[in-house]
Amino acid sequence: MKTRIAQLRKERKITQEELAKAVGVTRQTITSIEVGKYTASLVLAYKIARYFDMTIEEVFDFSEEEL
Amino acid sequence: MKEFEKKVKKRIFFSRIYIATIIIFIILTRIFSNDEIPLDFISGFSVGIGSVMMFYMAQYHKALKSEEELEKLYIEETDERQQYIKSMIGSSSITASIVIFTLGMLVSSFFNLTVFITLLIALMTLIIVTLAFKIYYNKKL
Repeated sequence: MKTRIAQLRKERKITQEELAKAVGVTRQTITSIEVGKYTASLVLAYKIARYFDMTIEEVFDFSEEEL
Repeated sequence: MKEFEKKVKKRIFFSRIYIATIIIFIILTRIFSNDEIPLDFISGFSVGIGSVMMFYMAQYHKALKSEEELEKLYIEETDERQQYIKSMIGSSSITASIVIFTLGMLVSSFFNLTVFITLLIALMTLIIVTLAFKIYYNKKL
């Protein structure tokens, strides 16, 4: 799944490590989500979106997912 | 985090009990040696597991020394991607084991009946345990 996490991090000058610590996962998990290897759970997606003060849809791109 | 700290302390406690048991066991095997039972192999195996436990104990002790290290360990253990990887390893290894046991059974059936029956029992046990867990988790979740 495509996400805007990497872009949002760069805009706000946040490292993967800082984001990972804030949402309670490892840095490797953030890397995997950013490159689209791993899809975050609903809870983690919510935590990430809340961290950036946005909605889940604004951070995660569901356009290519089968709904 | 307090709950996790208690959990880590409990793990250290049980690891210590296990290591103490191994030491007692090794001393007893030296006193009451028996040629029929491969005690050297059993004690070697136990020491191997004990060494792994000591490695984890060192990690737990390090984590208990600072809040930051404890939080790091907690994140590593509860990380959702790691949990997902664990569940994938579980399901893949069961499938691979079933295939390997079945192939082993087919090959051994031509050469050795004992090996064939041993593998059959192992395969049946694996299938029964897997099905039991499947039923359990289907009802639980």
